[in-house]
Amino acid sequence: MHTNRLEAIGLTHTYGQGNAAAPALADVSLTIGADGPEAVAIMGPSGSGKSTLLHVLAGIVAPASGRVAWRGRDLASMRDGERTKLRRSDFGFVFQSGQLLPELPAIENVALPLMLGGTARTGAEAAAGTLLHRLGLGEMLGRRPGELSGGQAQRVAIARALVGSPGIVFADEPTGALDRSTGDAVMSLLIGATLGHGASLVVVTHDPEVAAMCSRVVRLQDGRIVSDERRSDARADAVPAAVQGAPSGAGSMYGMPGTASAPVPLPQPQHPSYGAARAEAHVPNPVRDAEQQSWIEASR
Amino acid sequence: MITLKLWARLARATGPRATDVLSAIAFAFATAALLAVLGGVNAFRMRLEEGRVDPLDGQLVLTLSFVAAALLLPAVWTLAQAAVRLAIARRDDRLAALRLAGATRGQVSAMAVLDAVAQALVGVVVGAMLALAVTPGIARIEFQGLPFTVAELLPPAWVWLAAAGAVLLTALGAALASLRRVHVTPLGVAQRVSPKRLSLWRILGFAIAAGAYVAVVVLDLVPAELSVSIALISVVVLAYSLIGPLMIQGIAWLVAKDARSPATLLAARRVIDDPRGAFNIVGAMSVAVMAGGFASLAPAAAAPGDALAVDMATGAALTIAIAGVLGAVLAGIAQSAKVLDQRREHQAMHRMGVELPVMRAALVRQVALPLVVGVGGAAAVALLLILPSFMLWWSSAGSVITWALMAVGAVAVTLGATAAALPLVKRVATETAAA
Repeated sequence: MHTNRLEAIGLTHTYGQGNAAAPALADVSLTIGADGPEAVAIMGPSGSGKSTLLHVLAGIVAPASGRVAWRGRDLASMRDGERTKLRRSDFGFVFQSGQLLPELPAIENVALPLMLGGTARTGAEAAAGTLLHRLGLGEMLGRRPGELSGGQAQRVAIARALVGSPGIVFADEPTGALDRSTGDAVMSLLIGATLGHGASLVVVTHDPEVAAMCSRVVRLQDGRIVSDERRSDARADAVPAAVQGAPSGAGSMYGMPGTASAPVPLPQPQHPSYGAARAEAHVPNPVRDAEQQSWIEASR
Repeated sequence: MITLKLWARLARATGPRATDVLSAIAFAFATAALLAVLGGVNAFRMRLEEGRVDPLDGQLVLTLSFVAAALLLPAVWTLAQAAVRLAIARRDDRLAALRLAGATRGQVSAMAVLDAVAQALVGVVVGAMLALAVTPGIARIEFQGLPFTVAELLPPAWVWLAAAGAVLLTALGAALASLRRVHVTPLGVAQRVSPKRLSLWRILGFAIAAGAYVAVVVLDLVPAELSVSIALISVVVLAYSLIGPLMIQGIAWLVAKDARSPATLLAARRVIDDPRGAFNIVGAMSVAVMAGGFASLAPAAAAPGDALAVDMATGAALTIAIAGVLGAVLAGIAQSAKVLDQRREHQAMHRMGVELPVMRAALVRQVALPLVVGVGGAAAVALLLILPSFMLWWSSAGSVITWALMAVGAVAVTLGATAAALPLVKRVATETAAA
């Protein structure tokens, strides 16, 4: 059994009380990462319970009934402080608008989770700097979120989510505020970097194009799972080689002082579907290709 | 008319919230402080007009009371601004819904302004009652060798109405300014860029004021009367507002550079981001502490039994006390408004695993840093400028100790008041769940 396994059993959740009660989740069960890292898209119309499910899986919201277990441990059995610590150490988050702290420059935004975990600032910033360089943001370390484009800000958010080597990354409409080409590039980076870290990705989206890039699609309707489809034709053609090869795996302090900062050898694709998908023909896209090239160059 | 009806209906439907109460409290303190200061000025004016005091001394004390009022007015303005931010905080969702429902931008703005003015009105009424309640206490203080009377401290009705009008107009102006900011940059937070460095001309401005003081008062290069010396001291004290934000930004930058804890890093970066806002909270107290430093010299410098010197020391202590109360209320209110303004950041931090104690520590340090720099800097500048009179100052140990204790007390009360905003952090950060 894979260690980074997230298991949800019989989740129900309701907003409001009495006659005004609105069911958000109804008997939802699913397992993520059972056979290794995977990219799971959670789709559904507005009000179908997508974001609620993400919040419950991440331990932000306690379900009305049912249980969520991370690496075999029930989140409900943890104290609030333990869950908070777990979110910092084992989970990563990417939101629609990044939600970076506006006062902090990019490098400090990325270093913050490590500092919160007790890493000394020098070490935390070294790790953050290396990761940002790998993601093509070497020139942006001192820029604040307001001085970054939407795509750049999301890449910083991805770096922040991954810097602590999480076991799973939760993303809520990560490309919702981006145009199509930037969104595709960011999504490719998110999938590639997350899986490259040995982590699974859970992404809430209403965008079929985004879902098409994931290896598994879970559809919700009125709080219930109506389909759970594993795909062998995930459109991961845009995942840049540089970011797939960048991280060294879960649990390592990637980029810490003393660790080689040169790109590590490309790992084998972590999920069979990606091997198949990457072998497919590359669809030319000048904007995306140029951005990929810049990532690759930046990583050298 | 439709706007007014809709606003009244929505106000009835939603009822008062915690932020509304805090906002009204802020307006109440602003009004009470304004009326107390105007009461003091009125008392000195009446004594002078009725010939109950020596004309020269009376004129000087009246001038000094205007200086004290000038020191406190910026704090009243900042307090009113913070109150407005609270009054219209979290209205954005409702306003956006109204826009979608077909309300014009003017109607939506009018409703937000009505919210602020209504709370200001409640605050003005409560503040007037508060001022009346504390007047007998203030009347016990002795100035010019005479205790105040309640009648002296109660200005004419038109002054009360003018003060109330000024607070309401401040609320109106601050509300319009807030809305304009929202309209101009709807992405407010996201568009924030690197903070501009404050102009170094500020140092020059302060240096000119301090230089004039040294030339005239310390080195006696230009013969001047006491009133000129006092005017120069007042100018130096007010000019501190020029270098205060610069000092705070500079020290915060050094703190951020070497910060080891996330809370300190966050606090320092937030202060760097808005040094003027940080100084606004501590500015009144800083200049009051500085004025107090100068005034603490007066009893030692004066001839035995000189009532004016004692009045100056008493006036300075009173100004520090009022500035301390205003600063404390301001710190509590402004930090509450900040927590609400930064609710998305707090929610994001909570989701990504930032513990609540870290967020709370950042909030307290966000006030503590400018407070220590602003008030400490003011005390240091005062000491530096009165250094030539050090021996004189040292011989007046009693007033010096009073000054120091007042300053430390004001700082402690302000930090204590910041605690009022701490419970909001949890409420705001964890309400993400329902999103």
